[in-house]
Amino acid sequence: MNDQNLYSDEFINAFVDNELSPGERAELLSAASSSKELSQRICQMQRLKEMLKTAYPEQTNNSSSMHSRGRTGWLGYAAAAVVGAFSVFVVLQPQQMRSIAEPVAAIQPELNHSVSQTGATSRVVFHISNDDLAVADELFDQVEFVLQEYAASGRPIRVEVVANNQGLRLFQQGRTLFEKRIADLDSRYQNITFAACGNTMERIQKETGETIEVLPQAVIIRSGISFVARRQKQGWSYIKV
Amino acid sequence: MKQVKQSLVILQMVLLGLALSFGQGVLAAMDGEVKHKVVIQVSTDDERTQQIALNNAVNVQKALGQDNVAVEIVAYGPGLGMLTMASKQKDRISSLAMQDITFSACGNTMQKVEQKTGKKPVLVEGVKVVPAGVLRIMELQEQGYAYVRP
Repeated sequence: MNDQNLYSDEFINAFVDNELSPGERAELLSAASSSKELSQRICQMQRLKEMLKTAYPEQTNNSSSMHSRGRTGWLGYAAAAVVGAFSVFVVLQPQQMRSIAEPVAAIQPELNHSVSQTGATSRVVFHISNDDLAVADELFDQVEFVLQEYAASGRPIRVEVVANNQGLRLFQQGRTLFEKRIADLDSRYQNITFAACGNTMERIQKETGETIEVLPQAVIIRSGISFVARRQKQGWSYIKV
Repeated sequence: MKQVKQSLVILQMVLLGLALSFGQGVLAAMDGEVKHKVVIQVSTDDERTQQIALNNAVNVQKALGQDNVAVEIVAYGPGLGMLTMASKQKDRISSLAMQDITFSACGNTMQKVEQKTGKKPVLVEGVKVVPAGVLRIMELQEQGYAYVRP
């Protein structure tokens, strides 16, 4: 058990919700300052809360996913209470047991409420680093499928396609075979972004002397690799094709 | 009489303590809350890569202990073949499926294969079907799964 496991999700939740006593706050803050993992957990919890706020602007108090976070804990306590009550039953007279069993029953209905339901935007970054035709074809099929699926069910999503190394060729003007497909996706969906690795462009230009221009739908980012790494840190799903 | 009562109280407390820890442990396990979670993507028909994916799954389970890690292998596109009866790995897969490694075949890919060949691919025993491999991988990462693509 390292120090960051000392603090439960419920405790961090309470911190984010500003429900801790000043002493507890100070304790968590000082622990967080020496533990990177702990401070990351706090940040994640904070971000989750922000996302919920954005997703449900009219009902900020209803942090349903917070409840789902603490669900295991609650279930654990309730079950422990049930088993505890049972062990008490073994020892005590049934008459005495009654007063203990009743509060447990009172907790039970609570459990059914905590169904996880986050309305937060899903985010996924696809990464391609070769110009294999079949792979690229599959990539665009996947991207389109994901966009369609989410649109059809009314769930929000953001999709990014990052190309580096030979994958860059997919976004290169005059070279790519997917010009139409990209333009089509870009015009039909607002929530897709194509990003070309600037490092790769520079390197190819230096190595071969050719000038590379990317499609108008693609933005140029400095480094594809550090971009996808950053996205993962920010909690995006990642799919390397 | 008083002594008997006292020891009864102590016994009661010990039992309660035991029950508390037991109850939490059992529930944590029931809820599927394992400490580590990993999803392994197989999207290539390269047999070496497929073998490495299986090795990865086994090694992770060995290193962390079968009860401490959830491992799911998601195969789609050209990778689907690994999970069909035509796969060279089929015996290994059905054995691993019995050792808590989850295998998910992409339903979309299966449909595509059926349209192309006229035959529905037959999956190895123990393999389950998910609607779409890519969506499954996204979902699992949203649930905190680490992503590995050999």
